[in-house]
Amino acid sequence: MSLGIFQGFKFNRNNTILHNLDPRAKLVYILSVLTLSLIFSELYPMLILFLSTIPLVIIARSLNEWLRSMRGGFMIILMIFLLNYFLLPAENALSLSISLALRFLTIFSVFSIFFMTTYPENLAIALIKLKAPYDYTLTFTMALRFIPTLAKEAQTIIDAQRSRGLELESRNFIIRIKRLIPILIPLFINSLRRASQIAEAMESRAFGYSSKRSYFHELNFTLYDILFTLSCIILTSLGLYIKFYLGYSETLVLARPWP
Amino acid sequence: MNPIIEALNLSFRYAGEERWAIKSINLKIYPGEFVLITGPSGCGKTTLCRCFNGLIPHFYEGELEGKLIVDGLDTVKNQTCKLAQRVGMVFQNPENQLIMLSVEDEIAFGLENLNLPRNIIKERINEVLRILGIENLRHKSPHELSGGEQQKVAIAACLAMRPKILVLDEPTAHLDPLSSKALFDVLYDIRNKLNITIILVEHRLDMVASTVDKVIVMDKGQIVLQGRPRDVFIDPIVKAIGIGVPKLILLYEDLLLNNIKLDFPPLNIDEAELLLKKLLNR
Amino acid sequence: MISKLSHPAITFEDVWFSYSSSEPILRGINLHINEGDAVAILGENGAGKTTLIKHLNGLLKPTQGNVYIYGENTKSKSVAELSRKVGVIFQNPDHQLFAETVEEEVSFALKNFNYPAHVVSLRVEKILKMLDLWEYRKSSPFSLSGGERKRVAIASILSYDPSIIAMDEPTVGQDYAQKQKLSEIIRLLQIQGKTIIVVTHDIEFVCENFSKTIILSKGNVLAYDFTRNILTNFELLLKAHLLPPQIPYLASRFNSILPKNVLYVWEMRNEILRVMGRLTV
Repeated sequence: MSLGIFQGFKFNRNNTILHNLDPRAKLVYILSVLTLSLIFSELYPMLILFLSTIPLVIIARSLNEWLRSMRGGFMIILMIFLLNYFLLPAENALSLSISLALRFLTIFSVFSIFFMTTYPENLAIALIKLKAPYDYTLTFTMALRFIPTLAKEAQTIIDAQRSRGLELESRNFIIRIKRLIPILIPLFINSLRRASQIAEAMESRAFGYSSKRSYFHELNFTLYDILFTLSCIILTSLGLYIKFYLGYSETLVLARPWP
Repeated sequence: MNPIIEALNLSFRYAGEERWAIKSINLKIYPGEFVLITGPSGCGKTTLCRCFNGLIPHFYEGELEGKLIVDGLDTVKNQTCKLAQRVGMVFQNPENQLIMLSVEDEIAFGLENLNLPRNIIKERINEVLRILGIENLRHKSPHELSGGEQQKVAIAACLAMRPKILVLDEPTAHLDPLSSKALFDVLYDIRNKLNITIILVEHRLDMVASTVDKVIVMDKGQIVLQGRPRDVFIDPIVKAIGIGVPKLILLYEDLLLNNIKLDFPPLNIDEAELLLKKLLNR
Repeated sequence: MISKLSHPAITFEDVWFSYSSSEPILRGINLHINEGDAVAILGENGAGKTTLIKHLNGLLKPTQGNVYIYGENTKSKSVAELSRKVGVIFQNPDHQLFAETVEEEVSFALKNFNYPAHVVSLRVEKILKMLDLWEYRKSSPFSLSGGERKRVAIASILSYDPSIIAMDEPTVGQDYAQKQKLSEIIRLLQIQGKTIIVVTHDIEFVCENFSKTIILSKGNVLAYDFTRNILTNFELLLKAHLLPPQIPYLASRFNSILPKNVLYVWEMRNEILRVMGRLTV
């Protein structure tokens, strides 16, 4: 049950510089790329921005997963391109639609890089250091923990109901939805039951004992993190300067053949 | 010696239910004892377990009568999070009690809750991984573990909090016989090494018969029998309420019906071998 | 009757199975199970028992090799079609209960197989009465106890009377009395001439209820023989990571005096009496 598009967002345990960077530094990176992708809509900058993410993917040794993810997002990207191509004013329709598709690809790419290279436990700590309440980060971590469990349970339920003659395929959309009921009800009820068991286990290990808690994992901002963050900030400032102070505008304009 | 757990006329009825899940429970458990609680489904074993660490009455609503003192604390007056330092609890479903993404984090969870400093947490993690022989599982996530491994991690997570009592509610229900045996051996081992009190709820009597000190038999919410394994298993009430008596005990009783008396009821193969050897050499 | 006995109901022909590109779970399974047989499949966790069961009604199709149910290749049939002949009862009833009443729950399969309404109500009544669930017919399945929910799950499959019945670990979490009830059901089904396959790791249960046993280990069939021969072959059991049952294990410690193939308490007692009688006479 792993669609290609999700492969690019799954954490992998490679030990690269990117994996060892503080999640906060990586968040700054995402913000930078986001900013740059929004202030520019011209073809060359978007292309450069998108291509700049690829070396990072290679450093993270995650090229295969990243490619699978890009392939999975292909449909959406194509849709963005086509919609804009046909709806924008003809004079720069082609170049603009390519730029917009690239913008989406770029944002997709940096989020992919982030999730592939960030240890979930470090992400939780990073969120705490950014003053997120512990309960929310715990919920986040536990959600990650139980997603595979839920997926496996859904498959088991589907197997059991199919064994009783339930056919999930149907031409009729409404019938198909109705036939999901024998899957959804046990899934839901089991999730409630599971939640109760989880709560019992947590209580039995003193959850809620004290309003103050310690943290086993620690996050320290190293030299690499500082350098990385600084580079991001400098490059973003440079981009802002080029766009607004120097007044950069489109140099390559491609039109649509019909008005 | 004073009992570490004492129940005085303990009764509990879940909210909205008519019948009492446990009624007039009186028991004394002493430090270091390995106690087995058994009985047919619905006899109240799980309810009793939940009382030991305060899940009843704090997590499960209902009517509680009588008194339960655990390591000097009244379970009604103390929340589970406080009792959790003295009583560790391992549940039937191996998966749903492991909530973190790695074994290391799972063990750390309870210690973080107690606000212990990082170096202590590190020490305790190393300690329990070593005691249970699962150092190789340190960075694994729960789905990468077998049922038996998951239960060992659950035990480790409890032991890291240095409880005086460990309660296990049918921990081998979802395990195969070999993993079950391994688990029971581990329990016996840690009881001896750490001198903690162990309370085990089980159906698989033949595997634990010779390792426990005391057996408590429950039926319909009440304790019908308690005592040493050898005395309890040959009591007719055990069969009458529908408990699966170990085969070796059945053999002992069958031989008795045929006028052959072994010196004592055997609780494991080695004892049975000894007794039969003696018998057949006469 | 004789022709029925030799008719293979289930055939596995060199079956290999693996999920996408991972390690094979089934490695060359060859099996013939005849109509009317009651067979236990013993094996440790991870041996491939559940995977094997899923091949019986087409939930899984072999990566290599073929599975035949009454001579028909499962690859050419849908799960719904195969499920009419092969009723699979999974381990956890909570993975299937969804209806508002026990009655509705038990009639689910019958309705899916397009049985007419009057037949549905007849069949439901029959099976609920057989499994002592008639008084709960209007109750919500979720209000029942664990053991009762298990019986509802069994009833929901037996209601449409499949000729082959497969159970995946039916004894997990069951106490002694519940296992006795399960034994009764299996005995009843046998009398009705059903082909029964039960996957389990409960050796004592196998000892009591099945005359033939298959040992599965790491995706291979290590043995398919009479239960007595299997459960007294300790090398085999060890190889499959299984613990021998208590009585034969004890007998093995006296292999010069007591015969090896003692399975039951009463057999052990008789052997002991025999040895003693011989000595005292």
